[in-house]
Formats: sequence, C-alpha cells, structure tokens
Amino acid sequence: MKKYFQYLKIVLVLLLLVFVILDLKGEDISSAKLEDVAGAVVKAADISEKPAENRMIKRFYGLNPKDFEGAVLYAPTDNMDANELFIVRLSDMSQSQAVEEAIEERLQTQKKSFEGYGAEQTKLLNDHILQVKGNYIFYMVGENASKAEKAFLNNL
Amino acid sequence: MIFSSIFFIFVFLPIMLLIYYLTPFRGKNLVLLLGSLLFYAWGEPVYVVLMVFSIAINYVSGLELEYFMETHDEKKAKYAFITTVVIDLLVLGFYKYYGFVLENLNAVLPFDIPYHELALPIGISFYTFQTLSYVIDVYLGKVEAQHNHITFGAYVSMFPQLIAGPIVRYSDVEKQLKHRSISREKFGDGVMWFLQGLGKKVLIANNIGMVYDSILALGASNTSVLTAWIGSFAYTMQIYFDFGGYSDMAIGLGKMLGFEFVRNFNYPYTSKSVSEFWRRWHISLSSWFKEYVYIPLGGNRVPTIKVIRNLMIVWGLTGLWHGAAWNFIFWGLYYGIILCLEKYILRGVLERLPNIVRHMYTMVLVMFGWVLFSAPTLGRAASYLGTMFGIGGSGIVDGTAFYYLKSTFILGIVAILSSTPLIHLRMEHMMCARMRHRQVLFVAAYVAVFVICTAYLVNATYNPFLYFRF
Repeated sequence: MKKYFQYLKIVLVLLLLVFVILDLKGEDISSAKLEDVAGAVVKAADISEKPAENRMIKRFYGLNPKDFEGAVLYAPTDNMDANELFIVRLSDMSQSQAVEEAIEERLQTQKKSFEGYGAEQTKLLNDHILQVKGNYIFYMVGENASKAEKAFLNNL
Repeated sequence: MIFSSIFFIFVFLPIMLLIYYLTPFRGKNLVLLLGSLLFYAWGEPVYVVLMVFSIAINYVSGLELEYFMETHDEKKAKYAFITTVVIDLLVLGFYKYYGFVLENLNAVLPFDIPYHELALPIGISFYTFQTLSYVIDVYLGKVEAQHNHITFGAYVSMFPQLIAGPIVRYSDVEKQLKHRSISREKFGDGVMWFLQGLGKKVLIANNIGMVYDSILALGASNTSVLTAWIGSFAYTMQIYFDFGGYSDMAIGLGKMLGFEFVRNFNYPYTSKSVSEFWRRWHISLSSWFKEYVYIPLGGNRVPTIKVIRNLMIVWGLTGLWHGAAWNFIFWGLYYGIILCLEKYILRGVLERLPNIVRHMYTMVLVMFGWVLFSAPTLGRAASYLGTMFGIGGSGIVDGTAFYYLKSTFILGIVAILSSTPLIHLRMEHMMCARMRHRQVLFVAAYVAVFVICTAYLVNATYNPFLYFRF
C-alpha cells in the first residue's frame, strides 16, 4: 500500500517534469521588450509618425492597454489613410482570443469604411498581416507589412 | 472565462446549473468537477493539465499521509508531508516567480541568462493554497483524508472560487462536499449575492477604474496634488469593488450550488486602524497566513522581537503572494511595519483619538498602500506618492483636477456609500419588510442592477479584472 502511493507520486512528479519541459520548450513566450520589438518593426516598415495615444487604442480596438504588458499603435494619420500598425504584448495567453477578435472587428470596420471608393485602401486592408506569436500579437496594414512582419519575428 | 461576461452569465452558468440540478446528488460532485475543468480550460487550455496534476498529487498525498499516520510511522508521514508541500510550492514558485528571479539575476550578473517568460496559470496561487491547507490539515489530523478522487477534484477545481478565491480551506467545506442542501431560498440568496457582486464589479469598479488609469497615464509632471489624490481614491475604490465584487459573485455561485463559503470582505474601508482593515480585507488570505504561517512560527506567544520577525515574514510573503514584482514585496513589508507600529507603539495613541481621525488615518495609509501596489514600477509609485505631496507635480490644483472631480463626483459618492453597510442594511430592511410594495421594490432593484449590468457588458470594452494576475 505504502509503496503504491510512493510510486504514484514519483510517476506524477515525472509527468509534471515532462509537462514543464514541454512547456518551456514548446511555448513561444518571449521576454523581448515591447519597445525593442516595436522599434525594429517601425524601422523596417519605414514609419515616421509617432505612436498614437493609449485612448486611440481604446477607441479603435476597444481594448485597454493597461490590461496588457504593453501595446503600441501607429494609427492612420487621416480619414483616407488605411496604414496601421498595432503590436500587443499579452499579460497572459488567455487574452489572445479577445485581442484577435478586436483586431478582426477593427479590420471589418475599416473595410466597410473604404468599401466602394477606396480601392487602394481596400487592397491594403485585404493584404493585412495578423500574426500571433506566443505572447505577442502583430497586426499591420500597409505596403511594408511583410518587411515589418519579418522584423517582428526576428526580434522576439 | 470571467463571471462578469455575457457568455458566462447567459450560456455557461444556466447550462451548468441545469445539468447540476437535474443530476442526482451522488453525481453532483462529478458534474461540478467536469464543469469546473471546462470553465478553467476555456481560458487555460494547456494549464488545466497543471491543475489536474495538482489534484492528483495532493489526493495521493492525503491517502499516503493517512496511511503513515494510521500505522504510526511518524517519520515517513513527516517525509511525505514535506515532499508534498515542497512540490506544491515548487510548482507555484516556478510558474509565478521564474521570470522575476531570472530578470533580477540578469540585472546583477555580468552576463545574461537567456529565458522565456512563462505564462502565469490563472488561479494557481488560489488553488495551491487550497491544496496546501488540505495537506497540512490532514498531516495535523484536523481533517480526514478524502478517499473519493472526484470529490477531492471538485474541491480543488470548484469554479466559483477557482480563479480569484475566496481561498476555501478543506476543513470549511469537508462536510458540504458530502452533504449540502440545495433549496429555493439558498438559490435566491445566491442570486442576490451574485447580482450584488456583479453590480459592484461592472457598475462601480469598471467605471471608476478608468479614472485612475487615465490619471496614471498623465505622468508625474502633468499631475497636480488634487488629481493625484483623486486617482488614488479611484484605485482604492476600484480594487475593493473589483475584488470584493468578484468574491461576492463567488459566494453567490457557491450558494446556488449548495455551498457556504467564508465571507472574504467585511466593509474594510470602515476600519479605524490598519490592523482592523486587514481583519476585514481578503479575510480568507489573511486567515490562511495566520493559521499556516504566523501561528506555526510562534505567533504572539514569543518574545517581542520574534513577534516582529513573524509579522514581517507573514507580510513579506503576503506581498510576494500577490505577484512577482518588487512593488508587491514592498507593499507587503509596508503593511508589516505599520502593523508592528500599531501593535507596539500606536495602539494606545489611536484608542484615544476620535473615530473620524482614526478612520482618516487608516484610509490615508491604505491609499498610499494601493499606490505602491498598483504602480507599474517602484519608481512610478515613488513619483506618484511624491505628487500626492506636491513634489514634482503641476501644482496643488489644476483644470484637470476639476475635470476629474466633476466627472467622478457622483460615482465617488455612490462608491463611498456602497463601501459602508448603509445600503446593504437598507436593502435587508426592505427584504424583511412585511409590506408587499417594499418587497416588490427590493426585487425591482436587483432586476434593475441585472439589466443595467447586462447593458454595460454588451457594450463594454473595458472590463478588466485586477486579481486575475494573482
């Protein structure tokens, strides 16, 4: 009886170790600082504007930056501009779905805004890149989106 | 999944309750276990494995401890007890403090140790403390080991208190896990508790929370003394109604399922000393530390210097429990120092002061504490506290302060009133009244809270939950 419990405990601890090792190996969570990642992306995307204020993140995405480790938005400069860059560093992985949904919603809103008259903007929106990599989410609409995505992945 | 979400209120909860009520009593714990695992897996599809592991190892350990104690093999019982506690603490420590430890090591070492930050499994601090209470109580012979793995699994994973407490000790629910009454009255009581909590969370905490966030974002140089105090007041109210509201919802859900959980908050902002505040705030955590750390260390029954040591250990650990960051540790030690001062120096002085002065003294210290607790870094906490005293800010009063004062005045008054027993007593009076129109008014008030909360939740983009990260 006694040995049976001990063996069970040993097996459970071994299983836990396997889980932790897989968790450490398999997860994509990056400790890279948001400023560093955003800096590299902005450089690659050739963005010269300043990041938007936090209230714009609330306005465009309905998300509160304080709920996350960090979030940075480079918003369109005027009504006819569709270029946009949004990077979020999640506090925990359970936030991922809500952020993706908020981005999808924003994308649909933008598509509707330009539907019928903004062919160039609609093309950019259709070519958007949404990349979820562990605790980072990258969303970009713009000509240099692919370059920016590469910079994003390389700097995580 | 959080309680204050449309999906939980209109989909998960009704389905869960329906299945739970239709299941015969002997199957209810299984329904509770499966429902709770599903609830947890909704937000943590991977870390549900960790929780299942925690259930399994503590269940086996309970049986092992019982076996060694029945055979009077104290040495092996002690060994089994220590290994289980160490495993539980290692899992908690690894997932909660791994990134923090390596970050600080990298800051002092001449080279960097590369690491990937691990996600914090939701509720790990809460359920680990529950399993620890079980193992300790079985070892001390205070409770019997649970032989039914489903019952034990239901205790650890029970969704009402899983992600934000209250920390339910096994000894408190041992009997309820075997026999609990489910009645219409208890269900109604549970709905009331749930709606009270929902109202606190959605109507007060979420709205007043926006004030503090926007003031913090102003930066120290753009914040006047009055603005800083308004911000601190807003956070003080936000955290109480956020966490207190969530605890009320947990207690309400527990009642709907037939359980009675311990009360976690007892109007803490009516306290007249910081010691009293901590007897009323997060009661389940304070009593856990008292029972399992403070008293085993000797409690009050040791020389003064050791009592001070014990208090500082308990409060350092309380701070650390809240999160892997220096500001939480300092926040805990800050309270340790105040409680030592109150115990040995200030007690006589405080007792002679008028109640209003004692109350203000408590609230000011609590508000300073929340600044330490909430600021993103220790530096920002220091600059914010400085601004509250006119250091480095933009004067005593400015237009921004008046804007916030005007926009939060009514909400602030509602929050202050709701943080006292006044409204609750009034509602209870209405409920107990024999006059039918008062009872109708009482029910209408709860229905109104529910409708308004639902409207908020449908439109809300701001629905954070502060204690999620603990």
